[in-house]
Amino acid sequence: MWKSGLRKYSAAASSTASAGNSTSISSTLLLTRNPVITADVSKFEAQYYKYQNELWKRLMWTFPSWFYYRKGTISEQAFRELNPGPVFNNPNIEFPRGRPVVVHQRDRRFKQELKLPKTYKEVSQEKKEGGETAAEEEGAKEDNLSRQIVPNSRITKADESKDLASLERQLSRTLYLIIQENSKWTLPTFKEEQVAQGDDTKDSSVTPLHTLAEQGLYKIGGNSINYFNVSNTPCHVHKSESTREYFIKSHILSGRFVPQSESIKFLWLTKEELGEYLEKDYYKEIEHLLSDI
Amino acid sequence: MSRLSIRSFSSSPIASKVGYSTVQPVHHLIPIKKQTLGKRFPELNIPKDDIRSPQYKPKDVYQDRVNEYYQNVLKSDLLLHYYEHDSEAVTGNKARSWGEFSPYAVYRRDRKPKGLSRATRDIKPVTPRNIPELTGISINLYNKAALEESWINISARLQLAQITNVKPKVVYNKSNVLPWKVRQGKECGCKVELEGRDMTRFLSTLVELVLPRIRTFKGIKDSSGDKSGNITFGLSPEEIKFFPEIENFQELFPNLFGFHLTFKTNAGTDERARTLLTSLGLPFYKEVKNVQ
Amino acid sequence: MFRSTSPLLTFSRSISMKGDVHLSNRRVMRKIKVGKARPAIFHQFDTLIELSDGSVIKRTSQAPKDEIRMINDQRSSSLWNPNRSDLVSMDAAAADRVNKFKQRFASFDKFETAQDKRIKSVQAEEAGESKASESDDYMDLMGSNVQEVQKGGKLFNKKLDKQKRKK
Repeated sequence: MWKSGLRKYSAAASSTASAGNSTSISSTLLLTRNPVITADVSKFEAQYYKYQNELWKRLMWTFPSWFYYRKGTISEQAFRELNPGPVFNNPNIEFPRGRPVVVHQRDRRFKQELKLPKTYKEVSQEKKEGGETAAEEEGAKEDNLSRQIVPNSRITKADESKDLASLERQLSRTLYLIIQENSKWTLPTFKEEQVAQGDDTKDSSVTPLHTLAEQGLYKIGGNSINYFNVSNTPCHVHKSESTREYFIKSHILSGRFVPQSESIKFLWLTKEELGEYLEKDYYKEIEHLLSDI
Repeated sequence: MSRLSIRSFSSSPIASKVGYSTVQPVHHLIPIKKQTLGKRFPELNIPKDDIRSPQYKPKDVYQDRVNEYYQNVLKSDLLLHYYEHDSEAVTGNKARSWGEFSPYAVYRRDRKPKGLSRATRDIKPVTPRNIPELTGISINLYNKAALEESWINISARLQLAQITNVKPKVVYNKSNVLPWKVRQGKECGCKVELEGRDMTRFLSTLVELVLPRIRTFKGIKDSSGDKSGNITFGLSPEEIKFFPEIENFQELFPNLFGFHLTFKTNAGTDERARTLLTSLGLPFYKEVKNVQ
Repeated sequence: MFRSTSPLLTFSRSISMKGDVHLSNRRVMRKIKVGKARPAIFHQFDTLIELSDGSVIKRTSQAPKDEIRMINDQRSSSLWNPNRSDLVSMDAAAADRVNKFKQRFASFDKFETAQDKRIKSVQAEEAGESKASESDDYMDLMGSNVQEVQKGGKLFNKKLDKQKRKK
């Protein structure tokens, strides 16, 4: 079971493997911000969805308006005014584009398109009749519960101002945190503080990799980050002659990264942008860990 | 004898042969739809996912955000979460043999597994091939009132169709229990199997709009589950009011009926299924038993 | 449309009967030829739902309502947002219960305070006659709408008895 997988992937365990050599162990934090909105679709995908959606609408049954709008009610009247019935199959008229097949107030040759009575329009009309001033109306608009619902823009202010350090950029993509401490952009990497070497077997003071990453993150980015550690198991090892960097994956849930010293710069970047900032070989090695979306 | 060499499609054992055949007859096992054999109903021979078939139902009708989240975020997370170095399948408790030496045990059913009445499944390590996934939601509505007045089941079916956008199937009683007025073949509710976009739509409605508004809702019981990764809980008629279709048209639904929801996963164990469902937004709570 | 009033019905819950439920009374059942059946796809509208944090989601629904604004939902629920301190888990039902209790028993509260005062004054004036005042207080406590507690067996009820005999 997975709980046994909680065994310590600690610096000690791995440093014993490279017994004798003075390899330094560090844990690298792969801190991601998950996509907030639906992914951007390619043109082909969008066309496919559109095609399927139109097919679906064509195959839909007739809307049972008699069930929702009972005969003789005001709502039924409003609905009928918005949706006048189709032209019936009049034998005296010639239809150059085919005769209509009308069943239940619907031309069965086409999809059924209906307009629904809106609440917000009615409210605004009433207000106008009441003779309120424009300023009052504006004030009412903000907290009016029956105002029109407009989907928020997919492009945020951070996108427009190209603020790469903002968490609110590229809402449809996964963002990764990189930092710059000394003229080189890297994923945040935290070295294990030196433990007395010699007998690794008995020291219990060794910090596990995920704790190391957490401590490091709070040290450079402040405590105002609420994050979720996916697993204590590292997802990748970056090996070089004297270092072993273990990758710990986690997601930022809320809060933000506030650099604790002025020398630290940070950016939230997508996969492609990471390629521009990171070293080429390094990026090539970790490319598979990064999400395309 | 040359007559024995070929076994015809349907034949009785050849009369001259003594004894009996242990091979089951083939024609009893394969159901044949006779309507598809002729040329009268050409539509029946077109598969349902072919656009020429009248049964064709478009599936990818809009972008599915729940599935997108699962594919892009959850899948890799679950794989990493369940990764265990050098892990092997944990063999379940299987039925035992009676031993090879007794002639009485030849056709005897295997012995029950140790300490259990049923064999349990193997628990396989999570690999990229078997990452836990929500495969379906089945909704089961048992309508007691329909036993006395069968038209009440129409209301129940309407309610389920409204909530799920799928036409429910009617469920009939299987047995006779007279004190409960249960008679065989009588309508007693309806059921719906949700998959694909219907499922994700229902799930997101449940998680975002319905469950958070139930004041007494603490989560799904931790003990729920059938031990192989399918988790069930129920909603009462008062809680069903919060579905937006019903809430905004309450006068159309004077009768509301509670139902049971089963989240079907391929997780294999309840613990994995719970992890999957929590990550999809369904909270769980640990049942505290009264200690005296 | 008719209202069925069959005496055999023993619904545990109140169930609306045919008169209150809109059932279509002219349902034309037409036989569909083999292979011609179409899948059941209900007519669905695209509905925009604004959640309490301002995010808008799109969903399909059969109900003719294309815009819904939520006040309570996942984004404002403390169960789903355990780390947010600004969400006060207002249990309105519980508040209601407390209010109801107060409404019902608030008068006792006033009564007690008045009584306390009286007792104090009595104690101050004369300690010897405390027994008599206590009994008076009990009479007060019983109030005007006191009902006699029935002791012993049930009284004979003519009506009920007749009904039983008929059956």
